[in-house]
This record gives sequence, structure tokens and C-alpha cells, in this order.
Amino acid sequence: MPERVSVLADQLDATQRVLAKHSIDARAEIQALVLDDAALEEREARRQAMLERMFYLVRKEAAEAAGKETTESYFAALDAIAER
Amino acid sequence: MLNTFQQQLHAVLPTPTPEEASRQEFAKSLKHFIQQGLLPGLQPVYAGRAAPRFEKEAGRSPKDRHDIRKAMVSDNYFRHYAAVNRISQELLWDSVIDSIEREEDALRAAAAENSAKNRGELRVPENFQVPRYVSALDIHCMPGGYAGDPEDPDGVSLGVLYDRGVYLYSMGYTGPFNDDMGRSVVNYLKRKMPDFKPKRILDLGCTVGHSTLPYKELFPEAEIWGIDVGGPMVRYAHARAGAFGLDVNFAQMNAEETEFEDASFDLVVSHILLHETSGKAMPRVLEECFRVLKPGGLMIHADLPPFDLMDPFTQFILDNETYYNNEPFWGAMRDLDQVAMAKQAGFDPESVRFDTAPMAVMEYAGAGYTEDSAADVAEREFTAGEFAPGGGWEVLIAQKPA
Repeated sequence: MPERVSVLADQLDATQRVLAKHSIDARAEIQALVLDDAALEEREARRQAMLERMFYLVRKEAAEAAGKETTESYFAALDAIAER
Repeated sequence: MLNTFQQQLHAVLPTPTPEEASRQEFAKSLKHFIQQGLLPGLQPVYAGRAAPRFEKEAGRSPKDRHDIRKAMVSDNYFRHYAAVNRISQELLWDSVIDSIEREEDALRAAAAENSAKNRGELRVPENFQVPRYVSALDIHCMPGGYAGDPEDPDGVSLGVLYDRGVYLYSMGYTGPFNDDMGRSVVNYLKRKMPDFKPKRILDLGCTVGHSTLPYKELFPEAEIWGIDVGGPMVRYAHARAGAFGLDVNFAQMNAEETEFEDASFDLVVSHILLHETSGKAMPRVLEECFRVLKPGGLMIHADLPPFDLMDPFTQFILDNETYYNNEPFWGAMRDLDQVAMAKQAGFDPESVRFDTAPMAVMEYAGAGYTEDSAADVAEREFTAGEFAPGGGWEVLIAQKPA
């Protein structure tokens, strides 16, 4: 992940430098940008979705515990299906 | 609910760069995710595997929150939850510090300028002794703690850090001005006791005065004092009040032993103070409230309700603050009989009670505070481990006999 973050930061930096060559001061415009509610919601939804993906495995543990899913119950289900 | 709450910046808060703002938003988002996405998994993990494991090893069921902790500390799911929770806390302070250091000189100047606008008094004595329960560790992991460096007599940085950091910690649930607790208690007073018109009000452990200012707004004729043991807190609080155009007095004082005369206040309040004191200090604070109140005066502490009516698993969740967030008195305070302590301090036994002050967050609008999102916060069911009890703040109320 640090590698991807580093690449993204370099890409953003490169974008701003290219825009500056075309007389667009993106850094200043980004600094002055005020996010409206729609933009705030879009960003927050993206962050929450990313966190859900990051914590997918650990959340799966809790979902299995909530569903009382165990190794024994899985094998029992296999046996039951094999017998039918 | 998508939490898009935004703090209202003012003259003594830094303006974050886009990168700093993104880091701060991420810290807030992570806290939200932990409470909505990871916290709910603790109960099934406990019931499904941690408790059975404990029963197998100990030959009995976990009987209290301490047993539950023993059962959970070795569980990978709980370890993930506790570690990410702790990391989110450290991240949030870290995300704010860069903004403050970058603007340190400007913030110091802004504080001086806005402090001068506040016609209220500012008392910061020399050689003030900060009690050990505050100086021993950085409470809720805030680097520098409340009191900071006594060699920096003009510093306000820790006040700035608290003002911005606590907003992120509370994920904006305390409103764009961080003042929901004070505003909720004032609303409670206005609604329940419309004839009560306090002329002199004392806010104990006021930190940056965020909960103090609603009292001045809603009782504008009253003389208001906010006190705290943190010098950077009261210096910043005085400037912050000035930035909001309010004349409020602030002083560095210990709530166990203030400098105020006997029977001189109509109302003494505190907001999340008591759990940051100690077993010896807390009864002394209540006795001091009794001393400085006029006959018939009112004491209100908005803090943590006791453990006694909660099930052990709920206690365990709440007690995580003690173990992972540098809140040493958090759990022990909830074991104390606060009602008995208030009676012991001299308050009218018939008057001592807990009640709920509904959250004022519904009053705000704009900057992410829509009617729906504010209602989601204010009308939640109580869920241990989420910030702020859904439905309202628990308040301990007592009256000095007339």
C-alpha cells in the first residue's frame, strides 16, 4: 500500500506540474476549493467503501461468529448433503 | 449514515492544507468505520468463541467485565478492534499537529488579538501545581496532555490541538462548534426549570471553553467563569471566547480547591470532567461545588453514568477506554456511587438524581449537519463503544439546601 500511495502522490504532483505549464495553478485552486455536501458525501462514501474492503477478512470472522459457522458445522453440512 | 459533519473554523483554529484536511477527514472516517463496522462484531465473537474458550479453561462462565476482558484479550478479532481503535486515536492527533506547527506563530498572535477582545478576566497564576491525575500521562493520548510545558507561559498550541482533535474524536457529534454538551445542559435547564435564572455560573474543568460558551449565549446577563488545571487550555479558551465575541472569565484553578468565595455561584457545572480526576479528588470536587454554591444553587455534572445498571459485556466495552485510551479513572469512576457521594457532600438527598439531557445536535444546520444526519446522531439507541450515548447526555444533578 505505501508503494501505491507513493505512486499516487507522484501522479498528482506530475498532474499539477503539467497544469502549471498551461498556466493553471491547480495547487492554489485546490487550496481554495470548498467542498459542498454532495462532494463531502461522495468522498466519505469512498472512504467507507475502502475501509470495508480493507477490513473484509476480519469482518468475515465476526459474521461467521454471528452465524455460528464453525469447522464442525461445515463438515456436518458436507456429511448431511452427501447422505441425501 | 454517511458522516460529513464539518467543524466551523474560527479565528484561533488553523486552516489546514488540502493534505492535512484529508488526513484529518480520514481519521474521522476511520473512527466512524470502527464504531459502525468493527464494534458490532465484538458481541458475536465473544458469545461464539471467546466465552466458550474461557469456560473450557476456567471451568466456569465469565462473571464480570474483568473475566470478559481475560476471555477477549487473546482473541484476534478483539485485538484487531482494539489496535485499530488505538491507532485511529493516535492518527487523529498526529493529523492535527502539523497544521498547528505550521501556523504556530500566527496562532499565537491570533490568540493574543482575540484574547484582548474578551473583556472577561484571565487568571493564570505562577507556580500552579497541576494535579498528578492530569500530569502523570497524556489523557486520551493527546500529545502534551492538558497542562503541557510550564516553561511555555504563553503557549496555546495544546488548546488548539484539543479544539480540533476533540472535534475529530467526537466525529462532529458535538456540533460545528464542539459545544453540544454545554448546549444540551443549557437546553435542559431552560426546558425543565424555565424560572431558573442564574446570575453567576462556574464551569469546572472547562478545557477550551467549548461547553462554557453556550451558558453565556443563553444567559447573557450572567457572569461566567470557566476553570481548568491546564494553563494552555484556559489561555486558549479566553482567546476562543473573544473570537466568538463573548465576554467570559477563565482561570487556571483546581476544581478540588478553587479561589472563589463561599456561596457565590447559582450554578456549578462540568462536562466530562469527573472521570478525568481520581478516587480522592472526585469527592473533593463535589464538596467544593457545595461550598461555592449559594443556598438553593444547582450542581450539574454531565459525565459517565455508573456501571451498576449495565450488563458486564457493556461494561467491558466501555472500559476499553481505561485500557487503550489513557483514561485511568474511566472504569473506576463508574464503579463509584455518585449519588451517595453527592449526598455525602451535603446536597439535598431528595434532589440528587441522574437524568438525561437530550443532545442539541439537531439545532445545527449546514456543513454536513442535515436534519437527517443530525437526527441519526441524536436519536440513536445507546450502544456501548460509540461516541456519546444515543438519546442524550447523562447528567448528575443536585441542589444545595435553600
